Amino acid sequence: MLCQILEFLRIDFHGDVSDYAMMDLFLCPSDFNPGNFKKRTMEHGRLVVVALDFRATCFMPPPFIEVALKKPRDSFCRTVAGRIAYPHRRSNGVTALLSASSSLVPYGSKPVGKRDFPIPSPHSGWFLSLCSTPTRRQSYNQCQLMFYCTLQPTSTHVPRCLALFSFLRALIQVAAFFSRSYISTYDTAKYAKGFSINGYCPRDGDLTVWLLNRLPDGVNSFLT
Amino acid sequence: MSSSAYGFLYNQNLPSEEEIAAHCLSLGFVRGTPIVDGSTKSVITWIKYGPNVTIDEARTQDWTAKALRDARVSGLEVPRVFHAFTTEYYGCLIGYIAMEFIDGVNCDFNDVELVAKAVQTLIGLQAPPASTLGHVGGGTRSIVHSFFPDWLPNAEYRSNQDFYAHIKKVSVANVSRRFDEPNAMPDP
Repeated sequence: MLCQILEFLRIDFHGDVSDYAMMDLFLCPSDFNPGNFKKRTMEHGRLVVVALDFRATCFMPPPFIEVALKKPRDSFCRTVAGRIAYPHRRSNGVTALLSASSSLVPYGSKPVGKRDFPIPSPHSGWFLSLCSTPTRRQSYNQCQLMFYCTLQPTSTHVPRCLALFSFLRALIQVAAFFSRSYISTYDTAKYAKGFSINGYCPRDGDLTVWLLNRLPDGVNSFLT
Repeated sequence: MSSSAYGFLYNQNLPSEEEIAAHCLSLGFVRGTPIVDGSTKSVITWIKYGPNVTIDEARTQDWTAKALRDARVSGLEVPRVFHAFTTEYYGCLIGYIAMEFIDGVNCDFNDVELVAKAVQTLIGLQAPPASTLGHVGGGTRSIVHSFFPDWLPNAEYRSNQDFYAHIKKVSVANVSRRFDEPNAMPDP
């Protein structure tokens, strides 16, 4: 029975992907941060919005627009997404896409099967990993500090995790300041936070894995 | 490649690439900066720059600005692009986009309705025929989307089919991991 369900799911998703290739492409913004927009007042008090940032805006098939609307990164984006009347035909494969997107988190930015650190077991709790992930469009090293949880987070997990994460980020920002590095922040999942250190360290160009460590026991017990 | 090759808007007052880069780097890595004409005190251009800024992004922005103009959209504006280029800085490529300066106030958390209307308009813009996934002219490898944990797929997609094959592989692996073995890994 389980095999039949799996087969059904796989075949069903194959069909959807094939459909995507036949779809028209539309502009797909996926970062609705208010800082990406300005407003200006025209004559008679009419407000006009100015869109300023197109880094995360590119051509995609409509199901990926649905994914962008259903995967908001903060409360503002979630509210924005809730006010949008989706103009395209709904796709049956969006749930599978969202699931696929979540499954990419433990892989980091590596292609499937090319991860450079192991997936933690479901019982290992919070993990902190620091690994170098040179990206294809960034000639400098990108060292990625990922923080994710394999357990379903509770109401106490998240604030504790974020408190520790903020402390770690502050430490690394200080270090980055003295080493002339650039730091950007991003979320890695709805309950996990991550950030990357885009360090200008060309002499370390060949490093693939810097460090892989479980959190010390004391920190782990603090979090869980 | 010159700006004219991309169809960007010509601006005869635009400083040279070297002058723009020097001005920006003297400020450090802020999100953007105006370049002001010393004699008239008017803003010549707004420069967006940083390690994640690309020429492909500039082309998408300019295409959107023209598409909104052609569609006679009234509630949303996008600055036309004058020029886009990259320079190397300590082994890192820094991208620069020189665009029209449109004065205004940054949106904030009270502007949900305005931003929603803007996004609503943007997602209705259909790509030109024969476009690939990703940024204008950037090919499938230029996709930037929240689908990916850090926005970038980090896989060398040679075509749209490569991308769809990757997504399918992730999904099948995900289904297998959930139903078969919690820690099973997909084949490379």
